[in-house]
Amino acid sequence: MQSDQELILQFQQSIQREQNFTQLVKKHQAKVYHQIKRMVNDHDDADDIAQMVWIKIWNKLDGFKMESEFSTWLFRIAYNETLNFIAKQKRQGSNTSSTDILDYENTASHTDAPKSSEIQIKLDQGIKQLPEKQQFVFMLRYFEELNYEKIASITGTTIGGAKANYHQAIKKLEEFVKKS
Amino acid sequence: MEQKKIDTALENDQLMVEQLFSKEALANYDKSASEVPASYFEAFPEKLQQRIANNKPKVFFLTPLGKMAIAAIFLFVVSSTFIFLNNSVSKKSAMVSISMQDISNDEIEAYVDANEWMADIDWSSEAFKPDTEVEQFYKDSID
Repeated sequence: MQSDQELILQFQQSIQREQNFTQLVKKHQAKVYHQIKRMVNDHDDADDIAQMVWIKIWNKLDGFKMESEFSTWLFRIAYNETLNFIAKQKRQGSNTSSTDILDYENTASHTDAPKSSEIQIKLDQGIKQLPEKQQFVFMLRYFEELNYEKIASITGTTIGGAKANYHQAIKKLEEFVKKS
Repeated sequence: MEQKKIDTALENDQLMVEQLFSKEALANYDKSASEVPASYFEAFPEKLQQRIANNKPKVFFLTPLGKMAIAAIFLFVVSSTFIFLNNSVSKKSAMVSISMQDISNDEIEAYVDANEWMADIDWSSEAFKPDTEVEQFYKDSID
């Protein structure tokens, strides 16, 4: 399998642009989709945001200088698009927090996973009450297992800032668990 | 060495989170997030390519005759604007360049003769104005 760098170089040299781009999409689509879905909880929304992310990548890939890893750049665009989407939803006044939990319970009961327990609902509620940036950092750190350096470049902060965000997220989750 | 540090930090973080929530709950949370409709990822690249194709700006390729027609219209507009501007400038400059030296004495005399009666009317109208001080008027006219 070709590396990201090889695929991007060929794309930039206009060699089989569509095929090389499709290869990139196939390699990274699942990670991007899951990260977005963890934030928005709805498949249609996650699909729409993921498409917007990849369209941006298509439009800007010619100018990508490979100074950072492709995946970091990709997650950065996904991060911005997701936060924009959430902000737009908030402006429009849609409040989906209560339905999110129901959705979560429904999806959990349809899967092979054990039925949603109290702690799972608590976890879901706890994550939802975090500010979006902290949510994103928490998920990148815990579920994607990215290091702070990568998280910092994705979220456009310093390594210290990323660490602080993560630890604040954990503290808030701890407080939430103790309170409830 | 640094990688080891990062790995240890990552493990510690994970332990901290798992102390708060059970490992099982966290795994289930992620499982629900990774739920996708059947063959979603197989169809996604094709769907994306279609959307990219639809987003591309449309380029109109003109026929050679169309290209020539547009070129002819462009040339006509440019040349007629140039001719129009050039004519109006030369007319203006011709008007400006006429001086008293270019007019012959005969022409000037003929003009004065023809317009003498106009000067008379001007004089008499000033003289018989009700508020005009006649003396002042005469003084001015003598000066």
